[in-house]
Amino acid sequence: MEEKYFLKNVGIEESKTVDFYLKNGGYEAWKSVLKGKAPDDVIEEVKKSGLRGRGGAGFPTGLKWSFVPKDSEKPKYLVCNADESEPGTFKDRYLIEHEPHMVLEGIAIASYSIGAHQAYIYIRGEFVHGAQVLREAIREAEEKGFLGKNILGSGYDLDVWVHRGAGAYICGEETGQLESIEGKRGWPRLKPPFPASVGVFKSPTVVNNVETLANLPLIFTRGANWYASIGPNAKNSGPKLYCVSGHVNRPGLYEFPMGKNLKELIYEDAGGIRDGHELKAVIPGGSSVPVLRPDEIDVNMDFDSLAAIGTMLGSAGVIVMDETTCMVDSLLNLERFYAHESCGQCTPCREGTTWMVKILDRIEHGNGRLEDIDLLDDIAKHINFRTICPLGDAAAMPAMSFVKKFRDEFEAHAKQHGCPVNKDKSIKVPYAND
Amino acid sequence: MPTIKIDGKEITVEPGTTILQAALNNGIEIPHYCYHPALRIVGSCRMCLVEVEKAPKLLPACATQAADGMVVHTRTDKVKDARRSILEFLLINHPLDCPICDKAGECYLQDYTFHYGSSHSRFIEQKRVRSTKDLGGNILLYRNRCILCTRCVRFFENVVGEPFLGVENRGYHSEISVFPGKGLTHKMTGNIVEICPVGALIDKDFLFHARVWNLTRTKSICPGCSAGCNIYLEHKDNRLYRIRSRENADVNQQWICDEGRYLYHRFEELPRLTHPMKRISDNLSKTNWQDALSIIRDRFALLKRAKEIGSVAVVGSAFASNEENHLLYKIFHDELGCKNFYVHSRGPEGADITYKSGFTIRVDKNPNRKGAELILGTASDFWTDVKKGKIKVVFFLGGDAGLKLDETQKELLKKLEFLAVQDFLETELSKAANVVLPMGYFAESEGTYVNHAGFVQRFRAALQPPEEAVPGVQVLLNLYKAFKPDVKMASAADVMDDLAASRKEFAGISYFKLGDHGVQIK
Repeated sequence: MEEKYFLKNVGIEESKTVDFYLKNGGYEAWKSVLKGKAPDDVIEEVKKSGLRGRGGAGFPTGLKWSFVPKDSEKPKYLVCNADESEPGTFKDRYLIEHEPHMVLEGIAIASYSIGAHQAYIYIRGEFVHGAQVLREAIREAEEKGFLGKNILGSGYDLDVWVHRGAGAYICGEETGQLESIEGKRGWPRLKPPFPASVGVFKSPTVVNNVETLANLPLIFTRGANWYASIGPNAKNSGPKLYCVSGHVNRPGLYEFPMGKNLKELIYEDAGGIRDGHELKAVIPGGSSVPVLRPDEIDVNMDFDSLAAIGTMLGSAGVIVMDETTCMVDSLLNLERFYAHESCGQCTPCREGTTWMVKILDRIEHGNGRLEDIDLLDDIAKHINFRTICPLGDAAAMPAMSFVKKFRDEFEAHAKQHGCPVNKDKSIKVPYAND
Repeated sequence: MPTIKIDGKEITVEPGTTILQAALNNGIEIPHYCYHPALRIVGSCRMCLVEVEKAPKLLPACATQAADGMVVHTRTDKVKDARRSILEFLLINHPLDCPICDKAGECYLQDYTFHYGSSHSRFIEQKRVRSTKDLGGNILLYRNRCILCTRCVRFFENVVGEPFLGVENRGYHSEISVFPGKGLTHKMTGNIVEICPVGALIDKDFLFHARVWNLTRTKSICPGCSAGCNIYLEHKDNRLYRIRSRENADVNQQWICDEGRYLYHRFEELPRLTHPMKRISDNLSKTNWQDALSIIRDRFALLKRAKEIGSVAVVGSAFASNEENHLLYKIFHDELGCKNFYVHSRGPEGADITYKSGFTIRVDKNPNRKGAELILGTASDFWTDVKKGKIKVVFFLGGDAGLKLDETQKELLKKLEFLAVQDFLETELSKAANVVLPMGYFAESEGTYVNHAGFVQRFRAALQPPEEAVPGVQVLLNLYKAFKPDVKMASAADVMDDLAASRKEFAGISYFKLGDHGVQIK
């Protein structure tokens, strides 16, 4: 599929305006849904399309919607998770800033299907510009009658609110996000109950990622069958945004059908590894997923193919590292991030992440012992699957996979009492002391 | 009702019961920190992780509801390994200062480490060191020892209903904190020290005073108000070191207020009566028990013979036990035929304070008004009758640490011909008495109170009264014997049996039947 959906308007400044969007067939899906489809039909259609959540976990979207109790007397809420904070990920940001109406149309369709009359866009605090664009887009959409009261004469009401975060990664976790919307500390909740039954303000709530929602207009203009035919199979379907960063010649945001070959993506589309260097490691789905060695990257970028080799599609944030990258140092950098962002609620994550940082810091700076490598792995194993939310797993998976796949390098650090890697000093990385 | 299997034991539970509750109710221990039956479940300490068949990962027993057919294992290698690792995580930054920690001996970090932990540490990094914080009131926060279970935070949220504490900062730097500008000056703060599973919250009142394993615990009832909260008196070498709450779902749940918790200090500073005394002309001088009791006996026997018993008033006390009040009645009504009984009590102070959980601090500050009035009746005011001049001879049973007389009452005292006072402290009344009988205060005595809701509850003696003083029941039993040498009753328990036999309100009650949690009467 050479046809682009998300990225078709790259470089066009006015792509974010409602007029431009309408001129290019925008809000047609929303109109057709409002006119001709019952909420249950919408859910069925989305189930048929095979759309899976683009936030990282890949949960089937239609199935998630169907968990919202129909007989509940409480108001229902839709939350658009725009707290894109996963290191290596920059797909939602593009959609928010350049295709806000695509997101809003998706929000409208999703809200309609679950019977929500209030929708929140929880946007990462640092996305100041994105929040402005969204607010302006909501204003435009309300003006044109696509949002607000009695939308297009259908009697259906929907108000969309932009809720800015305050800079915590944990508020990207769906239940932490719900707490934050309620004005509380972003501490993830125990599940069950799941948000579909007890979500924001104790009411049924669906939380969907920006990119997930942005797929909906496409499903309802081209049809679920067509959508399901894009990509390798009906369980891994649709167009997909891939974020490529690191030591490639052309880092950036790419759109391909689900299941793009990772090797092809790096070597053909992203222009290959920068000149004179060779590939050392790839993190395929944002910093939280297990790392791949160069011999493992001939794999299709879809949920099931990546799961089959022990990693995840995650947010499709492809981080490419060449031989100037020290794996101990990069893991140290990642774990610093997770230690800094741990909410502090669960014991293993609160204490374990910082412990890993301290050990990695020692290994990298020449004070490591050989037994520290197993210790590190053991700490990670005892964080993994032992916490309320997946941040614990997210901190543990990189550590376990780095140790497993680059053990030689860890051992070399310990044996040589220092870092053996010839690092590229020309790249300045902001150094966090915390 | 769902039936689950825990470690091979089949357990049928009410729907909605968690694995942890099911286990604890059936004598299966699952270690836990953040779970507390009175507080919202947060499942954050991860200490109670158990293996549930068919679940992909270990589940928190505190937050997982029992479902029919569930098979739970709490002692597998996987579970043991998880517990060991949680303890390791909790201990890596813990100062391990048990030798100087007040919590040592009743600390769950100590106990669980001993049972489930590892005996060596793999942590060779610098520990997180943080200073001790004064949260205000009587509470110190030893931040190094805190495991962030948030029980204290949720106590104010769920039990008190006014948030006073929160968690500040994030992740590794998280800590318990008071809200800005608000000190921890609340009537319920002492409870958070009790529910803190480790030595993080420490009571300044107890700080470095004793090792808990040296203290003896005696079951008692708080005399601070008519709520009748169940308490433990913790003492050593005839001195109280602290008061702790004792669970009683019907009365005080598992809380006590700070007024009750620190109430024992009030008794430490009082001018105690230590010897029987008698008046010789203008002065009170020490005498022995036999002498003091025979002066009273002779005086009242004389009045009886002269048929002047109508001029006698007997004042019981809403601060004294049922047993003491009952003995008063036995002696002065049954033996002497006296009809003028009164009950000394204090008027209401402020208003009832009820917290979110229903725990209430009562406006009626008399621990046994209900009991005393059931036994002695609710006659008109004693002082009014003295003023009328019909009362000449008085036996007064005290027990009120705050007893004060106003000028008119002091004047009225001069109208009396004879005044016998039984009390534990020197008051304006005892100073004016002809005979003084010294007794013990509540911690030195045994007996029962009837609380505001009619619960008859037993308190036991923790301490010895000072010098010659004896528990109030004993004073009155001795006085009774002075009138009636063949009295069989020898203890407070005997007096209760007699009370149960003679008053229908107390019918069927005995110390055995009261047990630790008391019995409610009509």
